[in-house]
Amino acid sequence: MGIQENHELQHLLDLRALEDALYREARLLDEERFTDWLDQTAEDIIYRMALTSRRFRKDRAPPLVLGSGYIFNDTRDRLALRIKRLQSGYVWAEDPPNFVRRVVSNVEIVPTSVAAEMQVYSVISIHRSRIDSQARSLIAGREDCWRKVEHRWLLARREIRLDHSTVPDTNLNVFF
Amino acid sequence: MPLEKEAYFGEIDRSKHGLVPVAQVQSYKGLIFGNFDPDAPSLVDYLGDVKWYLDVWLDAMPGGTSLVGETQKIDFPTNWKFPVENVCGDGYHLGWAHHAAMQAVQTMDLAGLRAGNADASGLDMGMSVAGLNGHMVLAALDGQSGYAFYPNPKPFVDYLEANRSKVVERLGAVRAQKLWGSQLNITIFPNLQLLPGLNWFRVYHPKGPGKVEQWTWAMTENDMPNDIKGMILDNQCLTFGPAGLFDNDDGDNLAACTEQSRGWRTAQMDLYTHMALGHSARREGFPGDIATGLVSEHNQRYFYRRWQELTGAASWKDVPSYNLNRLASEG
Ligand SMILES: [Fe+2]
Repeated sequence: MGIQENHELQHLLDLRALEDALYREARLLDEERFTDWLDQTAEDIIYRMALTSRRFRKDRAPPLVLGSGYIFNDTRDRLALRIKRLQSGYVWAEDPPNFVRRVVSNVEIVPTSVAAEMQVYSVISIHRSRIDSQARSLIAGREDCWRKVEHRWLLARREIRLDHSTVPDTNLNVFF
Repeated sequence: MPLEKEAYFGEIDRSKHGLVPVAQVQSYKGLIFGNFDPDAPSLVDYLGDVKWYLDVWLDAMPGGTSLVGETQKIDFPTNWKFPVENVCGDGYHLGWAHHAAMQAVQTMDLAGLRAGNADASGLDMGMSVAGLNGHMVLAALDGQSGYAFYPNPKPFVDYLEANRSKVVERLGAVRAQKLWGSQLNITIFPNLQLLPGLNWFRVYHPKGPGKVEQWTWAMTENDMPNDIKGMILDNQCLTFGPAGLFDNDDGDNLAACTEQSRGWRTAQMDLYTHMALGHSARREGFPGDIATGLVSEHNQRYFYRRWQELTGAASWKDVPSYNLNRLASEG
């Protein structure tokens, strides 16, 4: 097998491994295995969901001086803080646990100039069955950077674009 | 107007079909209010003595205040009065509803903030202020507890101490030392609330029975350095944004209260809001009817009383006006 073929095979294996990582993290979160999920993230992860607003196409208002603000603006420590809260046993909104199911799709994996890093686009749909008879559906686009460290792909950066200008649920006790 | 002649046959009287003018538009120190009722009281009269407390946020520093960041919008299936009463006198639910969040983020150990269902220490560290035409204030009195839920309160405490003498000059010693920097919950009846300290500003838009759209912004004093303003926006989102560690406890409580009150049997019963009934008085140096502590239903009673006064009145003439225990200087 030539070097060229070797590279192509490795690329295909990376794509498979990254897709698996996306599905695996969805399942870990559905199962509330938050610590295992955190283990699949890089030490220097940046996990963000910016506040946005719907504006007219013609609106040329300058950007806000301090920026938009973020619904999530999390380092690894802050993700750990959220997990600590969720696992404390005192988050009444999650007891009894809600049925939560994530569907990940539209996966697109793009090599970057850094050999060990891939840019990954995906769409996530989160279905939450909450308090008797209430169901909520959240949709978001994601743009990630995944980094290969010692044969494992770790989430290093995630920019989440929530497709709801008004959040349609009473809380966002979920990771996207 | 497109096709005015052809489609309307020139018969429409445009002067009768314009936008309805807002009868009164008035502002108070940067807050702009509109009212469709020409007979409503003026804004200054409507606010009454709650202005004395509002100024602790709006007018402590010469530069005034700003709302920062995008609007944070969230839909709650709740009656609009529940989030208002939850915040207007919110000391009782803190230790229980937000136990997990407080454990996760609280960085200043202040007795007044410890009071919860099980811990009675510090119960008397603040006050509940009402008797102001339906407006209400909940106030700690230590001059710094507003920043107890920031990862690093030091820059805020430094800012407060560097500027406190200036605030004494502007607002006097009582407000500058007891209120500025303290955790404050201010409610402007019926649906506007602001929390200096945690620094959020919120309007509840009722959208029909059992539906509210909650709009929140972070707020800053314009004299604050930019890095402090940035920390406020970040921490406000972390604690009371759509994925806020505190706000994510409240939403489900409010929805559940609404849902459980809908049943026929429950609707036959009165709401019990008697906590600390008969335990309020004048307090030297502060306007309003004041109950001791952050834990009481004193403010909720005045909130529902105002609601009853307004829904029971045929016109503004029938609506009583009261600003209890006015300060002599406010006359
Ligand atoms: Fe709360």
